[in-house]
Amino acid sequence: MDLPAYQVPFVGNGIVIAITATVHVLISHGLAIGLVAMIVLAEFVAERRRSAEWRAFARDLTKFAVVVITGVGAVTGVGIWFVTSAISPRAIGSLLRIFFWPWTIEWIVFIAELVILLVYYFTWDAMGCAAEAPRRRRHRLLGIGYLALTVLGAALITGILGFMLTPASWPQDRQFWSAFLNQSYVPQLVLRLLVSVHLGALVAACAALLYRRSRELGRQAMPIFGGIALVSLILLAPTVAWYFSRVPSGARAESVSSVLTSRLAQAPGSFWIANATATGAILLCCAALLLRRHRTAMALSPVALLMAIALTAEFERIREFIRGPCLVPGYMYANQALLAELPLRRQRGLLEGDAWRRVRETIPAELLGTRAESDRAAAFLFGQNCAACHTIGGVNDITTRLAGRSQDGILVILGHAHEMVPFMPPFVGTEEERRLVAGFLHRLTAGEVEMASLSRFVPEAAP
Amino acid sequence: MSGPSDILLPRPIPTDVIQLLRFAAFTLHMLFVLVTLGTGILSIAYFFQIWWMGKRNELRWDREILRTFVGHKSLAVVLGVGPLLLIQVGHPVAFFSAVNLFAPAWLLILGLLITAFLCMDYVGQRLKVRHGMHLLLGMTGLVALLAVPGIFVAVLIGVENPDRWSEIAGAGHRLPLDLGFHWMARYLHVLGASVVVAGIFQYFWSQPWETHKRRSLLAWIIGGTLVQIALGVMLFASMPRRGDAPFNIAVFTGTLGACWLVAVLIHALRRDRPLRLAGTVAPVAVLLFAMLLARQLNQDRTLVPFARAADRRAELLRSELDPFRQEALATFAAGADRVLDGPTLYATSCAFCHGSSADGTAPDAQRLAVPPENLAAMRTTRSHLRDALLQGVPGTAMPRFGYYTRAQLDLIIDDLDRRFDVLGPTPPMPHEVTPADAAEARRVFGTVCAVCHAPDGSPTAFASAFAPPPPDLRLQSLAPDRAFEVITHGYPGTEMPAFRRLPEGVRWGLVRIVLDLRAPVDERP
Repeated sequence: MDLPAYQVPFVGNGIVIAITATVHVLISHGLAIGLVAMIVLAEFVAERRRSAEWRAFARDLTKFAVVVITGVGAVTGVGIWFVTSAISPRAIGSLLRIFFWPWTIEWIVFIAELVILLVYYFTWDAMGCAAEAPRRRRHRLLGIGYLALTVLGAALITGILGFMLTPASWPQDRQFWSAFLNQSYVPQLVLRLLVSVHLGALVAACAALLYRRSRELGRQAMPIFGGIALVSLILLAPTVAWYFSRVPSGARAESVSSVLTSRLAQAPGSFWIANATATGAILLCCAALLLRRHRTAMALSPVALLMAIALTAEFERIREFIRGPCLVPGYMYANQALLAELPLRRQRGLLEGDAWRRVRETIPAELLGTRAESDRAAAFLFGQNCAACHTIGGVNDITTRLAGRSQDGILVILGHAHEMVPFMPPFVGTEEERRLVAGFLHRLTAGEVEMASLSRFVPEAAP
Repeated sequence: MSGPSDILLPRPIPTDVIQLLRFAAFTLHMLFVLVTLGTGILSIAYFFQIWWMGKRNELRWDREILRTFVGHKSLAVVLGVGPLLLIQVGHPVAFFSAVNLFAPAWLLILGLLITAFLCMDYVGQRLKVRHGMHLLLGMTGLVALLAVPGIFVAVLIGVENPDRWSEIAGAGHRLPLDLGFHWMARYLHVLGASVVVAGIFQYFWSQPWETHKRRSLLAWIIGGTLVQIALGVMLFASMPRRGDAPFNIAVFTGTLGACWLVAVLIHALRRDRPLRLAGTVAPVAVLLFAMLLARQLNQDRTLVPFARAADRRAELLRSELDPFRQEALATFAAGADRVLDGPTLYATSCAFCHGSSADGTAPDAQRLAVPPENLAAMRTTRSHLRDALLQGVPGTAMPRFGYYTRAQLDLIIDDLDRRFDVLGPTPPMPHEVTPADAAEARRVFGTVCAVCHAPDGSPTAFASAFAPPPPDLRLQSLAPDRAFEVITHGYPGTEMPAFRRLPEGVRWGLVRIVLDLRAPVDERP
């Protein structure tokens, strides 16, 4: 498919992108939107109660927020892009062409956001803590302005995220607005904003409880942040239902199994028990905060925060997983083959004329016509067809998936995998290429082939 | 046609506009990158210098410099999004291929940046940091920070030299000697530029009015600029391709800017006067603008023709794919609305081997050395069938269906039971077996069959190692006709032999024995 494949050995590509994206979501939602909202709120409280403690609290928390948002949040945000550039270039390249304008506007919004945040941070002395009321007012306005921009940023990114699962009529008309304003757009945006507020309130509650300079502040802050966390959590319940009602039925059916994976698929009850336990822990913590039970809240708030983080990560997992075999809906499969390309590749094959294969594969003359040559070709096909999800010997290991199956069986399975497993893309290539891969996978599973490079799919030249 | 094809979706804006914007965005990005890198280098250098000279009371100065790091680095990162976006929209094939060549290092950038930023900001934003900690975090941060431009330079060298990809990939994803030398010159040139630009920034921003600090910064800036001129000559000499006229003019203009800057700096040093902002920024602006322009002019000499060729190939591929578009959309729509009920699951997961009438005669079954089981003739228990679905059957095509939840597996089993009665009792024998045949059958089973099938119907230890192993006859049975067929003709592709030489009555006797082995369990609700 003219672009090279790469896989992070053993861990696989999915995990790397998942970790980067999840860290980014947690920081961008929980800190960049949620926590800063709580900081601005604390500044308003400080003004209203004329409290130097609340002001100092808001100011100290800003430092933490700024260092983590700019040091980890911004880097992982760009990082999602870095990772996809290396592991799914054709997909990110295509998405960039569909969503060039929102991404460009988002870039400018992003720059403005950071500049305002930095100004807000560096002017705590000169404005935030100034004696003159108008200066303090201007500092609060900076905070509000920053928050408005973060909401705008979220509104831009949600269009792209929603598109990947619910593309509306884009596959047919290829129109920008039908891609961007897809049917899950509004519920997902509301969901993300509520998650942000909820995470932010829990982080702020933890910070207030641990705040060393004033115990009294912790006592005052508990019901405020506890209440916000509780209200946002209650509002989240119908929003989640609203979101999933907009998801296509075929995808919705995979939601539970996407979290359980084949490890836990036979005990589906565990999904509901785990989610109920996590929600219960958060509710308990909110109650302790509202009732000002300092010690109980101290013990429960880190647990509640962890649970909220886990639930957020779970949502992202489901959303990413249930879009099933497509990276770009109706256009590109997870292995980066185009849907329309499939019939063409069935006739013409993948090996012949692939530009990158010519770059990479300089097969020594003495190997031509040997099994080593066909193994190299098959491993290349594995890289293009399967390696977006399957590793050799690591996560989602192809050799354990196929262990014990006969060679002819693997050949048949490869031809039907996309029908058997709704989230798998079809095999791309000719019948002969499929036979090549089946033979290679059979011997790989039997331990008869060693790999020289796992990340670039080169087998050891057999003696 | 040889060579790669571009991304098939159309470019959102014309290529020329992308080139122009890329230059503007990259210039802005580089400005902050240089200040970030240089601030890191200067701060650590000052820490060592002050520490070495034992002037502990001045140790605030290096942190004063580092305090602004949080701002530069944030802007360097966000401003970097622009050029990244534009090069990926304008030149995806060249860029992604080069990234792939150095993929592990490329991915490492994230870890390096996070480490560098957290270390540097911890030191820069804390009021008090102990010296040992300062040294440790500062050095860790600096090493991580300085590694990043090295990786970017390598990737850009990859982008600019598509004709060398094969060579780079063949050499274990390392740059060959000449490109390696070019890489080193270019990398050092970036570091040198960062010291100069950050020195000038700190000179005006941190406003060190003590003379020795001012002089010291000035010395760094002058030294940096002179080293840059030397490194620039090295970089020019190491270029993989000789520059054309526009490139040479841009480099020449940049060099003039550098000389102008040196003159301004030396003048200030001699007269011992503070630098003037406008008088210093003007030569720096000329210098940076001209050199970054030269950089892009050189890059575009290979990138633009490469992109044009890839575009032509994309055009061709697009016209080849157009006839298949409607079919693809239909497939997609069908997938989105699929309903996971029993008949659908059977149709998509089982029927291609076992057949829609479950008799094991689908087209794909013909390819298999071990033919799929005739499910319509099989009788078993729910848990046995579920195990078979979860574990598959070794040595055959029967896969593992572990990704289906328990409920989904039950949907398949219920569907099979509804249509083919697979959980029902074994159908009755069509006719009786004479006592003589029954006795002979018992003898045959005890001496021949028992090698693999234990007297209670379980597989013997010997036969359990077969792939596939013999079925557990306690848990599953076949309709008598089908059992008779298997005993008579054997099961192809397995160890089960044909017993067609036994008298027909004896074979029916064996059928009787085998069917009686199945425990009468009915697990249906």
